[in-house]
Amino acid sequence: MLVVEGIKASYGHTEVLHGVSFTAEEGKITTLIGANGAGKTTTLNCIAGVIKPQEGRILWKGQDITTLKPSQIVRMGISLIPEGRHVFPQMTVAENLEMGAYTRKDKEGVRRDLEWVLELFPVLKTRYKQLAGTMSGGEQQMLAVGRSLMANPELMLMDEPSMGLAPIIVQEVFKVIHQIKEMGKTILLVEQNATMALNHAHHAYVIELGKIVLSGSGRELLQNPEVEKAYLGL
Amino acid sequence: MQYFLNGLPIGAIYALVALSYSLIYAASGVLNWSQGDMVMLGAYLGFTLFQLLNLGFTPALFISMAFVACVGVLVQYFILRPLRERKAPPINVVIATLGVAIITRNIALVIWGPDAQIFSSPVSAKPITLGALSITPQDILIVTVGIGLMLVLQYFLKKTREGKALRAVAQDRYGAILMGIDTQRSDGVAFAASAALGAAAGILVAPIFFVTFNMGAGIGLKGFVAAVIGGLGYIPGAIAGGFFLGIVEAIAGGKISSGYRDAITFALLILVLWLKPSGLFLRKTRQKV
Ligand SMILES: Nc1ncnc2c1ncn2[C@@H]1O[C@H](COP(=O)(O)OP(=O)(O)OP(=O)(O)O)[C@@H](O)[C@H]1O
Ligand SMILES: [Mg+2]
Repeated sequence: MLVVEGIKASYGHTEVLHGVSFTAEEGKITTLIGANGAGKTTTLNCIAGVIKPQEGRILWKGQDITTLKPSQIVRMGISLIPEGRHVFPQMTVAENLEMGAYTRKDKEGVRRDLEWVLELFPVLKTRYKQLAGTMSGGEQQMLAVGRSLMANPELMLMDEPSMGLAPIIVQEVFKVIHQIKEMGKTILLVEQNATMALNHAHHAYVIELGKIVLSGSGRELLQNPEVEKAYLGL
Repeated sequence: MQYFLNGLPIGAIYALVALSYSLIYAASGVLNWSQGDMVMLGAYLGFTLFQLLNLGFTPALFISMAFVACVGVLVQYFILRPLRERKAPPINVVIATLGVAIITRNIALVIWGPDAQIFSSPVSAKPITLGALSITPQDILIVTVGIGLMLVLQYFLKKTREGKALRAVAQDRYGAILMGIDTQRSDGVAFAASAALGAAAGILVAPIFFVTFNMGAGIGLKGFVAAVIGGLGYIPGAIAGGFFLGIVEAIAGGKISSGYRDAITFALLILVLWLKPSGLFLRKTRQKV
């Protein structure tokens, strides 16, 4: 289980997370929804070790990971698929996937994972030698997910994987998220596409201005009038 | 055609220095002004090992490259890293590298003294003539070793784990961090490789020029101009920029006057910055290592 306990984080002198707490259960999809600037990305960056919270703790499987470096956190089985994908544009699909497995030493396992990532994303197989920067947004998103899977993570943090994608591609992304969950991985999903996220999540949290203001099962929040008004009434 | 040949060896040297600027710039976003002084250090170490200790040319080359690479790592570890951790503005980092340049220069002055040293060429400087063209074995040596090192760099960047990590950091630093790549380490690798390339340029250039404690300023600046002409941070551009500059200088020196050579170099720099600041050889948008 991932436990986030009262984390506070700032940029310069501006505090943007004012004590965020939530949990994500193993083998389940947990979602964090909220408006622009609510602090979703900041929260994920804290878990991934890229930003250090000033206060609070982050526990993964009972171990305190708050002060670990990003490279150590990757080695503990936590991988962040960042907002905006951040694939390596001048590298081929093959090289991008290889970088995903950067911290791994088990060659045999890497080879096996590469095989099923290419099975999960046939498009990556056909584009294997293409430079990532020349691919479409949807393809790059698949690559970002595939690259993260190459780290063989137990916990996957996904920051707006559907951002900027056509509805049909969004469907595909969510199908993949489901498949990944079926493999027993734990997923923490940040989305602005609240309807989609709540439909797929076991548990959901609403974050507003750096604070968790609501939580419940995906279904509960879908029917919550406040949530409907603020996030679903599009 | 003869001018073209004359420009190749100095072009190879410029290319190595340009690569050293571009590699660090691409990998860590730092403009390292101590790069020219790594050239000087390489030249002096090569001089000491080859001339004074009578080691062969090849061991002298590799030992100086390794030694200067260590200096590069020290610069990264003790100067760049603390500044990074304190989130110092880029201008402070640039000034710090200028400080390193001045300190290196002064240390060299203390060790080797103010007099210019003559590095006698390991091979003959007598031209071989082929019809209307002539080239010296020394020039052939410079170009061969220079191109050899560029190939080694390509292999390193494209095929090795460390090299690929360096490219990843250069292309997307945040993405690289999320892969578990230690950016401090890749910065160190970039500084080491750049310093080694500079040192090699120093040993190669030593038989052409005198070895002096302040030789780094001139050659460092030329290498920087070559890097900018090729597009700072763009590896193939640095190579092309180096050879281009070497050949242009040879033609300018031959056709006009060697006195105008430096003026032409900087006129070229200004022209590139004015007309095509991303470099002459960069077609697409931002392309890196
Ligand atoms: N690098 C930064 N420097 C300064 N302030 C930042 C930085 N990144 C984010 N912020 C601020 O922190 C707050 C939270 O930002 P964050 O990116 O975590 O929000 P978000 O919920 O992910 O938003 P979005 O839905 O737009 O991605 C915002 O007010 C934002 O302006
Ligand atoms: Mg965000």
